[in-house]
Amino acid sequence: MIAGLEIRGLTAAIGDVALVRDVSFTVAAGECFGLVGESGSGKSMTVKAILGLLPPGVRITGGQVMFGDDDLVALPQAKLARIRGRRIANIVQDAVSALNPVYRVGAQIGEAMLEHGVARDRADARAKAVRLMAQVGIPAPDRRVDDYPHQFSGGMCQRVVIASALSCAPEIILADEPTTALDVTIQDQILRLLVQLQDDLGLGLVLVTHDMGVVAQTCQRVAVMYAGEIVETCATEELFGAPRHPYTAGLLACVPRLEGPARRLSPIPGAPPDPARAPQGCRFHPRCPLASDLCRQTQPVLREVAPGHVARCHHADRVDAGLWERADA
Amino acid sequence: MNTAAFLRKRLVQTIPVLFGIVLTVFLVVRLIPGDPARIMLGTRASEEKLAELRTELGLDQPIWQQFVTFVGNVAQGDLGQSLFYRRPVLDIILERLPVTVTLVVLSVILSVAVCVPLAVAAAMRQGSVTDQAVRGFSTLALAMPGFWLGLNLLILFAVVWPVFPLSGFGKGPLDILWHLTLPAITITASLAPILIRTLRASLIEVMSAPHVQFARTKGLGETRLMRRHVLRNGLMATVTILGVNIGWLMGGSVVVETVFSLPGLGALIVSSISARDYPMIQGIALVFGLLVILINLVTDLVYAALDPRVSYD
Amino acid sequence: MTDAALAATGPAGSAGRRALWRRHPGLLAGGAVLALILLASLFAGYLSPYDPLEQDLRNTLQPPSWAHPFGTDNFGRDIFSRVLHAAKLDLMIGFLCVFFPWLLGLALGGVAGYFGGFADTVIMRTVDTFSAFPFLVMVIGIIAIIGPGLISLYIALTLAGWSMYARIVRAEVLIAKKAEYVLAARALGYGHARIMFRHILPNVITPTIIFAMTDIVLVILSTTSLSFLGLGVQPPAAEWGIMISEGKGFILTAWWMVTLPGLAIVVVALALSLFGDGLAAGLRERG
Repeated sequence: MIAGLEIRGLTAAIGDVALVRDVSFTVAAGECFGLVGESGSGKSMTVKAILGLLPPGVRITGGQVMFGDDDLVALPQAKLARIRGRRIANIVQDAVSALNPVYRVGAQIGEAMLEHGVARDRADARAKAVRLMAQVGIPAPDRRVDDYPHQFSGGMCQRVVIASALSCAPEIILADEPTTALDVTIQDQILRLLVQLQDDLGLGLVLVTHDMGVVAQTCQRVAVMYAGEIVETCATEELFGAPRHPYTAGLLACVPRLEGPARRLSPIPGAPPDPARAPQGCRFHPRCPLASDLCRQTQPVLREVAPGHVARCHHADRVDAGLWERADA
Repeated sequence: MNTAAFLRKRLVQTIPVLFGIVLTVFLVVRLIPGDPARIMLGTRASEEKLAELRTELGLDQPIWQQFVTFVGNVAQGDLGQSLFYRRPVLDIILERLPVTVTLVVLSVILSVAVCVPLAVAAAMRQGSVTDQAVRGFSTLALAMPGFWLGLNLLILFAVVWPVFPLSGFGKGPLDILWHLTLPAITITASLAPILIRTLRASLIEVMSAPHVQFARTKGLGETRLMRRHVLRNGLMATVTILGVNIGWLMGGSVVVETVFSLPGLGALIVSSISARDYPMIQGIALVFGLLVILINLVTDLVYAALDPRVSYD
Repeated sequence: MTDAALAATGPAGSAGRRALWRRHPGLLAGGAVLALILLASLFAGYLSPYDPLEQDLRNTLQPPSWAHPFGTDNFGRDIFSRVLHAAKLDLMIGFLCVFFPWLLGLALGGVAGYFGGFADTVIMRTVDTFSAFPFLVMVIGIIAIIGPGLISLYIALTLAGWSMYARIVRAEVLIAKKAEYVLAARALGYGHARIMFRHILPNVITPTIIFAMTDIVLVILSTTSLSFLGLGVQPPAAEWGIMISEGKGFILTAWWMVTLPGLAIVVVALALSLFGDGLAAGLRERG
C-alpha cells in the first residue's frame, strides 16, 4: 500500500521561540501538494521536521507526522533512517553543493540503494544508477555515471539529485525549492520533469516554493505559510480564484497576469515578523487591511471556510481576490 | 592532463626554487661575518693553513666565479669535503639520509594514525567530555618540548622499565622499528595535536556542509555518513597542513635525533654547526631543501588524488 | 532562515554578561600561575636556597629531598635554585624575542600598509621570503651562519619571527585606513604621524597581541630547544634547556636532572597558552 502523509499540529521551536507552529496538512498518495510562502516563513523548517533532520537546537515540541501507521516524530532515529531515502526522499534547492565533490555521481545515486538493500552490490547499484540517469534525462548516462559533480551543469546536477531521490522508489518526495537556484529556462525543464515523474510513478510530491506561478502550474492542492503558520489550505484553483486569507490575496495580487485588468505588482507593505518577536493575536495583523481589535488580541485558528478549504483568519468571509486593490484605493 | 604531464610541469616549476636554494646555501659561507677560513679553523691556525683552506673553498676567487664553480660542483654531486670528517660531504649525507627519512615517515604514519580517530571522536561530539579531553591533551602535548619528552620516555621505557633501547638506529626492519618507536612517539606528540586541531575544525565544518545534509536525507547510517561524506572531505585540509608542517618536522628531527643519539642528518647538522664545518652545513641544507621540494610535490599529488576537482592542471 | 541565524538566537547567544574570567577560566588560572612564576623569577635571588652556580662536590647527584627539593646535579649545584634563576633568563628571552619581532613587524608592516606602493612591494616580498622557511629551520640556519650564543639567539629569533607580525599589521592597517574616523582625520588635514599613532595604531595592536601570546610559547620552546642543542645560551648559565642537556648524560642514575627542570617549561608553556587563549577570546568578544 502506498502511504500518504498527514501532518497534525506540528510545532518546532528553538528554546521558547516557535519557528514552525501548529502546522497541519495532508498529502494523499500520488498527489502533488504545494507549500508556498516567503523565505523565512518556515516551509523549509517544516520539511526538515518531517525528515527528522532539524538543525542543532531546534526541537519538535508538539504534533505528529503520520506516515502510514507510523508517527515519524515518535520514531527512534534508527527506524527513521530506514524510512528516509527509502520511502520518503528529498530534493534540495542547491543541487550543486548537495553532491559530494569527491565521489562519482553514479556512486552518489547508488549509495541509498546499497544502504537500503534495493541494490545487491556495487555493480547492480551502478547499473540501476545508469537507468535512473536516463530516466531523468541525462544524456549518455552510461558514460556520465563515472563523472564527478563538478563536470555537470547546475541543471544536470539537479537531475542527478532527482535520480538519487528516485533511486529507492519512494512513496513521497519532499522537493524544497527544486528550481530556485537554476536558470529560468532550466527551471521549466526540471519542473516538467518532476511533474511527469510524479504522474508516471504515482508519487506523492510536496513542492516547497515561494513562486505562485510554479504552484499554479503543478500542484493539485496548496498550503500557504506565513510566519511559521499555515494560513490557508485548499485546492489550487480555488486558492487562485477565491483566496480566503488576506495574506494569500496579497501574494496573488503580486503575480502578473496576461489577461484581465492590470493589477498592482507591489508587494504587501511591511515585513514578516522575527519569530522571536511574533506579534500578539494574529501574526499577520500588523500588515493586514482588515485588522480589528479581535485580530490584535486573539490568535485565529484554522477553520473550514468552505468544503475542503481552511483559513486562519477571523474575517475570512470578508476576503476575496480584490481585497488589496480596494485597500489601496 | 595526465599524471606524467602534471609531474613534468611541477618539476619545471621547481627549477627557480631549486636555484634559490642553491644560491642561499652558497651565500651561507659568504655571509659569515669576518674571515670564514679563520672562523672554521680557529684563531690559532697558521697563515699557510688559512690560505690552503681559502684555496680549497675557492674563497680567493671573484664571487661570481665562486658561484659558477659551486653550481657546477653541486650539479655533479660534488658537495665538497667535510672539514671535520675529512671525507666527501655527499658520502656522509647518503649514509645518514635513510635514518632521517625513516624517522620522518614513521612519525607521519603514527601521527595520522593517532590524529584521525581522536579528531573524529572530538568532532562528532563537540563539547563532550571526549572532545574536552582530546583538546586538553593536545594543549598539554604542545606545551612539552620535544627533547624533554624524549628524555622522559627514555627514563621511563629504557631505564626504569627497559623495553626500548637507549640509543642508536639498529639493523633490519624490526630492529629499526624497535629503535625508532620512542623517537617517533616524541615527534608525534608535537605533530599530532596540530593535525588534530586542523582535522577537528575541518570535520566540524564539513559536517554542516550541504552535501552531508543531503546524504542524511538518503537515510545513510552515521558510520557510513562519517566515513564517506565527512572524513574523506575533511582529510583534504589535513593533507595540506601536513605538507606545510613537514618543514617543521625537519626541525623536530634535529632535536629528536640528538636526544636519541640517532645517526641522522639532524644530529649531524647540530654537530656541524658546533664544529664550524661549513661544507657539511651547506650540504645538509641543500638536501633539506630538496626534501622539502619533494614533499611538497608528493603533497600536491596526494591532494590531487583525493580531490577530483584538481585535475592536474 | 539559515542555521547560523538560528544558532545566534539560541540560548548561547543570549548568555548573560558574566565576568570575563568566569567565562574564560583559563585566563584566571593561566594568569595566576604566570604571575606566580614571574614573581618567583624576579625574587629568585631571595627565594632560592642556594647560589645557582655554587658547586658542592661532596653533594653531587642527590635525589630530591627537603634540603634540595629538586635534587642536585653532577656538580652538586641545587637544581631548584637553578630552575628559579633560569626562569628569569628564559622568560626574558621569551619576552624580548617576541617584543623585538613585534616592534620590527609593527614598523615595517605599518609602513607597507600605510604608504603602499614601492615600499609595500619591497617589504612584502621580503616577508614572503622570510616566511617561506619553517621557524625552527630558519633559526637554526641563521645560527649556523653567525655562530651559537645568546646574542645570536636574539638575532635569529627576531629575524625569524618578525614577518608574521608585519603581515598581520599590514592587513589591519589596510582595513583601518578605510575606516570613517581615519578618513575624517585625513580630511581635517592631520599629519601622517598623528593619524598613524593616534588613529590607526590602537586598532592594529589587538590582533598582534593575540598572535604574540601563541608566539611567546613557540619562542620559549625554541629557546630551550636551541640551548639544549648547544646552539643557544651557553653553559654554565642556568637555563632550562642547558640544564636538561647536562642531565642527558645522567638519565641512568639521576632522572631529576632532566624531568624537574623540564616541568618548569611545561608549566610556563601551559600557563601561557591558557592565558593567551582566554585573552584572545576576551579581546575578540570586545570586538
